[in-house]
Amino acid sequence: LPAPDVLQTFTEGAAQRMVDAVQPYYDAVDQYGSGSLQAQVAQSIARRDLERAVYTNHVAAARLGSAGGSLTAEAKAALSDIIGTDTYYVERFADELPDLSLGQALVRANLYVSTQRNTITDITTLELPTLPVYPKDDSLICTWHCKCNLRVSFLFGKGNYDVYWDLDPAGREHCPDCIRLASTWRPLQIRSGQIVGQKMLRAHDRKILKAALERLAA
Amino acid sequence: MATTRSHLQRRAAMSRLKQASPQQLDRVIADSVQSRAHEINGAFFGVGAPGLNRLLFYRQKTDLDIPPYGYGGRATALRRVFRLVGADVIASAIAVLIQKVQATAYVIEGPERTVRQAQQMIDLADLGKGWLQYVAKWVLDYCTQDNGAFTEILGPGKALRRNGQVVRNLDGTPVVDVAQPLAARALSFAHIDSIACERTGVYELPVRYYDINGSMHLLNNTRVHWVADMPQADERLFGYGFCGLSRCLSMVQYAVNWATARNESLDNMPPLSIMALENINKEVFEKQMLAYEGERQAVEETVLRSLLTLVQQDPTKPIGVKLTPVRQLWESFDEESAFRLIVNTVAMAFGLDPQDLAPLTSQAMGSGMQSTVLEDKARGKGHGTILTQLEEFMRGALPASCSFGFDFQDDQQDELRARIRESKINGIVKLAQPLVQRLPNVQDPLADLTASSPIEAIINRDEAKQLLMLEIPEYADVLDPSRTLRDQVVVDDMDPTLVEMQMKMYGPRARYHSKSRQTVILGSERFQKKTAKRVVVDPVTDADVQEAEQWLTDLGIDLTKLRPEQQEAALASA
Repeated sequence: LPAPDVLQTFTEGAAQRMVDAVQPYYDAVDQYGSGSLQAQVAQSIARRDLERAVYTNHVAAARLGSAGGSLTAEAKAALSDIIGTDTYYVERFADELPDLSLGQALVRANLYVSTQRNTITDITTLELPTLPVYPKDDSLICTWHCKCNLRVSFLFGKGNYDVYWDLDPAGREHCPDCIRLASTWRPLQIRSGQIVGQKMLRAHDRKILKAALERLAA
Repeated sequence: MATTRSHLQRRAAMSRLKQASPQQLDRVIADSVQSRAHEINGAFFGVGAPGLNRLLFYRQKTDLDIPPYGYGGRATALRRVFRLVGADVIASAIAVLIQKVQATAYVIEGPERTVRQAQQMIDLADLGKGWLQYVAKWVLDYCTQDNGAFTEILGPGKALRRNGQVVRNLDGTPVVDVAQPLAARALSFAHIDSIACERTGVYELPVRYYDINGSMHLLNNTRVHWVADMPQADERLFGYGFCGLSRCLSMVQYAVNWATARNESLDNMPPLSIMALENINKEVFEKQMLAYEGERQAVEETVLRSLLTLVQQDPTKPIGVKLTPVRQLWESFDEESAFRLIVNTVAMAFGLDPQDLAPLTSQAMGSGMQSTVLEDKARGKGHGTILTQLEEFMRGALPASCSFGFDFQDDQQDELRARIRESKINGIVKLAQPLVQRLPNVQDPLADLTASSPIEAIINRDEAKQLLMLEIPEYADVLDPSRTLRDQVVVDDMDPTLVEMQMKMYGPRARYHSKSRQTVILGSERFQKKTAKRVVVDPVTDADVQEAEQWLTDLGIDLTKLRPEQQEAALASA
């Protein structure tokens, strides 16, 4: 995965692009009124811009996920699926803009950014075998609110990886599932394409992790 | 055309389904030719206690007179009849069922947070009265009402509006519109009086509830659960049942009449009978009756009657009073057989074991063995069926990641488990015991006692503890309270089938994915599973990638420094 500062830069850039797509509609509403023709046109433009922002942000995230390498055909196919899903929802978001306040719209637009950030992990883990669980998985307590990342170490030889479950460093609290996964996938070992096990944390490691989390929360 | 259901309704339906999806359920409903699959069949007069037969009126002549199946007033009569004096066996049978269900412990399993939520729901059951009160009322309705048992599922929803205005409770909070679906997860559930509910036959709004003031409320499918014993196949009855009490009504009448006859014979009042008077004319009798009534009024006796005295008029003709009781037992009547008949029939009707109601006496066959066998069979009978129905309901009402089940006491299985554990423990203990090598010491036989040469045990004490914890996880907290030993266990040293173990750790979802691993890289397949709702977008082209790269560069992200080897190379060149 990219370094934390790169992740941060990407997240801010992606969020700004989503805001830029939504803001002009509300400017038009303020100027001409919500039922005006100008507002309708602005909504249509916002819809197009949101779709484009989602599309480009995902492609950029995939580019980060491929760590500088070119996108494989497999990655592009997966990317189309991801973008297709997000576009479905963003179109509905655009349709509902007249019912939302500016604040509501900005919060909702920001929700898409974490999905886009997740694409980095999705593309990075593409060549791995299916893992038992992924960030944002429905089976986690935090479900799609999850902001954790998978950190993958590509080891020597084909199909050898170490996968770490990294808690979001900016998060103030984490769900018990993610904490458990972060403490057990240290790392999740994949050898020759098969999950072979995991190293469990010892007691003192656990204490260190807990102290670190408390420091983060403070 | 099947009705379109909201997302939450689908979730609710989903939780009742085991393998199928809500979409499949929609498809099945849409494909059905039956009128009950479609909305158009909503009956104006629903089926149920108030309505099944609002138009069919039956005039009851006595307390024991129960309107026939399908007539108005039957539900109230059923509720009355098992409380009559004499219906002891029937009332006891219902009480036995209630107590059995109350005494059966339940188990909820799932993630810690959702289990806690489920427990809160159950604590709040029946508007805060709790689980025991809820099941008591539920079982009572299930056993004594043809309409079955009804439960209201409580949770947030849209506010009720009348004339565009939100209707509010006295404290100002909006009244929830129960005709609308649940807007979030259910908070709790409460029993509703079965007599106050009727079935509409409409899928979305299946139940009409009449409150004490007579106001009618339509209940949404997601807000009500109902189940009847022995639901009828008649499509127009919408699943109306035929309860256990209905199945033994003649025994109720028999028991009540028999008890009345017996009591009349035993108490100090004359039985219900025809009285024939001899040697007294009508005028004299009426005069004496008037005097008797006068005496009663003098002492303000209005309900009970004191002794009637008849005075003889003609010394030569003694007065004769002959009573012919109306209720009479037949010649071969045997109390014991009558009691046994009632017990057996009632037990049969409620799916109970006769021994639950009255112990086997006289015959030698009433042994402990027979009791055990009957206990084993009980799961498939009334008690077991009631528990299964409750389990079904609770699985639907509780959060989907929880499982709800009753904890049957299965002694045989417990014993088997205990035996297996015992042999495992013995094996591990043997491995941990030091092997003592006893070599005969001819010169100094006493040395054997003091200096026997122990050979080190195969495993040490800590390893034995670890093995014990792995075999019997329940012992872990006792054997290793500080968790030190457990933390030393490395998973990949324990079990060669680690992939399976991974699946066990993360539940069936993970299992489902891993079983379909024909291709090593399952990335795109994984996304397709998650993308039930999506639109087809243009494929990602090189131009799109270049545009994204440009944008990243504008942000200040250098793509050439993302890979570790590239970073190292950059450092080296620098």
